[in-house]
Amino acid sequence: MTQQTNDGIQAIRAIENTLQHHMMLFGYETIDLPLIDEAETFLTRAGAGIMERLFTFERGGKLLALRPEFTAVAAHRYVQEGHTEPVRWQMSGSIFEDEASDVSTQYRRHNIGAELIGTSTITSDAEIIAMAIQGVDTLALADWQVVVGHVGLQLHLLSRYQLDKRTTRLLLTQRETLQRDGVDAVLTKLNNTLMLDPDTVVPADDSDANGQTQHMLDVLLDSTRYGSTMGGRTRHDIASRVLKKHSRSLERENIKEALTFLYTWGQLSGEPAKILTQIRKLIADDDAAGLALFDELETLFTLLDAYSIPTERILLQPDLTRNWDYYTGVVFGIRIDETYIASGGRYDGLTQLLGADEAFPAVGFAYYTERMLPFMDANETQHTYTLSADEPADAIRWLIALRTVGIFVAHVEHDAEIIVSGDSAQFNGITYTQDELLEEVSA
Amino acid sequence: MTYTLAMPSKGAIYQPTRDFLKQSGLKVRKPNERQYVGSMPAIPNMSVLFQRVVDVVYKVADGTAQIGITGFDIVNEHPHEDIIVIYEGLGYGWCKLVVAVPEAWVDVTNMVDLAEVVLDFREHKGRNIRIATKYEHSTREFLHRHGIHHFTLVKAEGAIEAAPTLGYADLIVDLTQTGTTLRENHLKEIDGGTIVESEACVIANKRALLADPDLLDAVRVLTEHIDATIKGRDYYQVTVDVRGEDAETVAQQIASRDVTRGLLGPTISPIYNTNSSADRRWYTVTLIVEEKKLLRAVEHVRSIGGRHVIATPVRYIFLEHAPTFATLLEKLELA
Repeated sequence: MTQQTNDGIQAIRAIENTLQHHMMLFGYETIDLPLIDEAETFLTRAGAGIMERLFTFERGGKLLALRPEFTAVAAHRYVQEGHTEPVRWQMSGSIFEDEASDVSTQYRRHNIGAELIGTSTITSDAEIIAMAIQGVDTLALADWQVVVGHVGLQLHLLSRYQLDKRTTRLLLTQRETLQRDGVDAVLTKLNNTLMLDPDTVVPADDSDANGQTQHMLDVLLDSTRYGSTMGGRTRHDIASRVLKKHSRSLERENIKEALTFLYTWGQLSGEPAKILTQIRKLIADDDAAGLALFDELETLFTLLDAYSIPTERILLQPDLTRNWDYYTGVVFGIRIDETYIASGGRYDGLTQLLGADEAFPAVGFAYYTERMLPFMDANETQHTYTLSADEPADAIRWLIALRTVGIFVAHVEHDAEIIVSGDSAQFNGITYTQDELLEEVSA
Repeated sequence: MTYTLAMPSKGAIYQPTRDFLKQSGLKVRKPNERQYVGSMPAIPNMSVLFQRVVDVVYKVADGTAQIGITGFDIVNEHPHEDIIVIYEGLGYGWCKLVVAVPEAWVDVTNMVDLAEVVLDFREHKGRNIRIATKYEHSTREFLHRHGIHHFTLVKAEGAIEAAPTLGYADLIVDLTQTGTTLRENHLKEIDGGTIVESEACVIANKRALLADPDLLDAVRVLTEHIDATIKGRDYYQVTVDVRGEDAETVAQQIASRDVTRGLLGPTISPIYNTNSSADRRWYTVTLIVEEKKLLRAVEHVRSIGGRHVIATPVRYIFLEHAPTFATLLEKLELA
C-alpha cells in the first residue's frame, strides 16, 4: 500500500475538510460507502484498464473487490436502498487498484467525490461541473483548466455507421493510433480483430461460401459430429454468430467511414464557441436527436457562464473519454498542466445495470486528492507549534490560551518553539507577553 | 548448515525427477517409500523433502526449502516475490495449460472469437461465461491480458474436461499433453489459447540465496551437474577410423565441414597396425557432434574414407562455467 507521510495525511485531511464544507453548501449530504462490494458492481461497465487493476478476492463463493472508485458503489447503494427521489451525496476515503503483473504492489489512493442521482436535466451537469471547479478555487489552486466532452453525442454520431456495440467500442479504443497513424493504419490493425478479412470467417479449409453453409448446417442439424457438448450455447447461437462473422467482412466500408469521422472528431479541441460551430456542421439538419444533444452541450456552457466560470479556462474537446464505460453524456476533467486532478460525467444507465427497475439519470465526479498535493501551497497546511515550561501549570495556562484562539499547539519536554517562563515566553528569540504572542502566532 | 531441496512426492513428475537427478549425478536416496525426507550424497549438506507439487512452491516461498523442483505451470499459478526460477525447463514433464472450448463452437477458432462470445453471453444470456479450472490465477491473468474481463471461474479439481458436458461450465482451462482427452470430451484448443507451456523446473528462495554464500555455492554445484547433463543430451561422441598421409591432413579433411568441427576441433590418434603403408596410415578421429547434425557428420566422414563410425551419447559436457549459474548471479544482481 502506498503510505502517506504525516504531512501528506494532514494536507489530505485539510483538503477533505475544505471540499466537504464546499459541497455541503450545494446541499450534498455526506455518506459513508462500503470499502468492499461485489466485483460485479465494478465490472458492469468498467473500462479494460480498470478491470485489470481491480483488487479482487473470494469470500463465501462470491467474488468481492475493494472499491476502485465511488460512483458504482454509490449507484449500487441507491438501487439497494430503493431510492427513486433525487439524492445529492458526497463521499471521501480510500480507493484501491491492484497491479496484477506485480503481486507485491497494491495501491491505495484518496478520492473525494459527489454524485447527483435522479435528475436528468443539463442543469445537474452544470451544477456538478461548477461545484467541482469552484472547489478547486476554494483550495486556491491556480492555472486549472476544465476539459469538456460529450460521450452521448459521440456515440450518437457514430450510430450513423450502423456498427454493432463491440465494433464501436473497439474503434473508440483506437483513438490514439488513429490520430497518430491515420485511418488506413487502424484498419490494417483491426483486420484480424474484427475479422474483416473473409478468410478468417471460418477455418481456412472451409472458407468458401459452401463451406460456411455446411458449417452452419452441421451445427444446426448434426449433433453426432461435435457431440452434445454445447457449453451453455445453443446451435442457434453458434449459427447466428457464424453469419455475423461473415456479414462483418461486408462492413469494412462502414468501419472506414466511421474511422474517418472519428479522425475529424478527434481533431476538434478548443474554445467552446468555436468548437460548437464545427460540431454543428457534423450534425445533419434532420437529425433531431443529434440536434437535441448539441443544444444540451450549448446550454451547458451558458449555465457555466452563469456560474461565473471563466470561458478562457474551458476547453471543449468532444472526444474526451474517461476510464469507465458507464458514461453516457457530458464528461469532464479538471487539469493543472497535464495532470487531471478531478473528473466525472453523466452515467444514466448504470443504476439499471446494477438491478434497478429503471435507468435513473445520474451525474457525478471525484477529486484525486493526492494529485492535488504537489500544486498546494505548503504554507496552507496548519502548523502545530511546540511549547514547554519549567512549571507544568504555566505550560497548561498558555496552552489553553493558544488553543482557545485556534492555534494548534502541543506540550513537549524539550526543544520547544515556545518556551514559557511565568507570564512571558520566548519565541523565535524574542520575549512576548501572552497577548503579544497570541497576536504574533495568529497572524 | 544443511539445506533442503523439495521435490514431488508423487504424480507425473515424481519418477522422472528422480531419474533426471540420478542421470545428473545427483542421485536421491530415500530410506523407504513412506518417508518424506531423503538425502543427496553428491551434495552432502543437502537434504531432500518430498512434497506435493504445489507444496514444493509453498515450501520454497516460505523458506522451509531453499530449492525446489516442480512443474512450471504450478510456479506460474502461484507467483511469489521470494521465488526465483533457475531452470524454466528440465526437458521432461512437458504439458501445456490451454483454453479449450466445445468442438461444436465452430465459430470460435481464436482468442478474439472467444472475447466476442464472452460479450454475447453477457448481453444475450444475462450471465458471465463460466470457466472450469484449477488454475485460477493463470487463467484470470491470461484472459485479462486478452481483453476478456467478464467471466466466472468455477473451481474444479479433476475431470475438468467433463464440465461443459455436465453443464457446470461453458469452457475449460486445463493441462493437456496430446489433446486426446480434450478430443474425447468433444473439446478443442483455439489459436492463441495456450496460457503456459510447462516442464519440470528448478526454483529457489531468492532471499535465502542472497543471505547465504554457502547456499549459493551448493546451488552452483547443482547447476554444474544439471547444465552438464542438459548440454550432454544434445551431443554425441563420434569415433571414426580415417586413412591419411598424416594427422594434420586428416584434421584438415575432418574440419572442412562445420558439422564435424566438434567443440574445439577433432582429436586424432594414430592406429598402429601392420596393414598401414608408409605413406598412408590409419588414424582414429574423436569428435563431439550435435545430435541433430549426426547423420550429416557421418556422411562427411564416410565421404573422406572414414570407416567404423561409432556414435555414443555424451553424458555430461562441462563448459568453462555453468551458464545457468552465471545467469542466476545476474538475476540476483551479484554478478
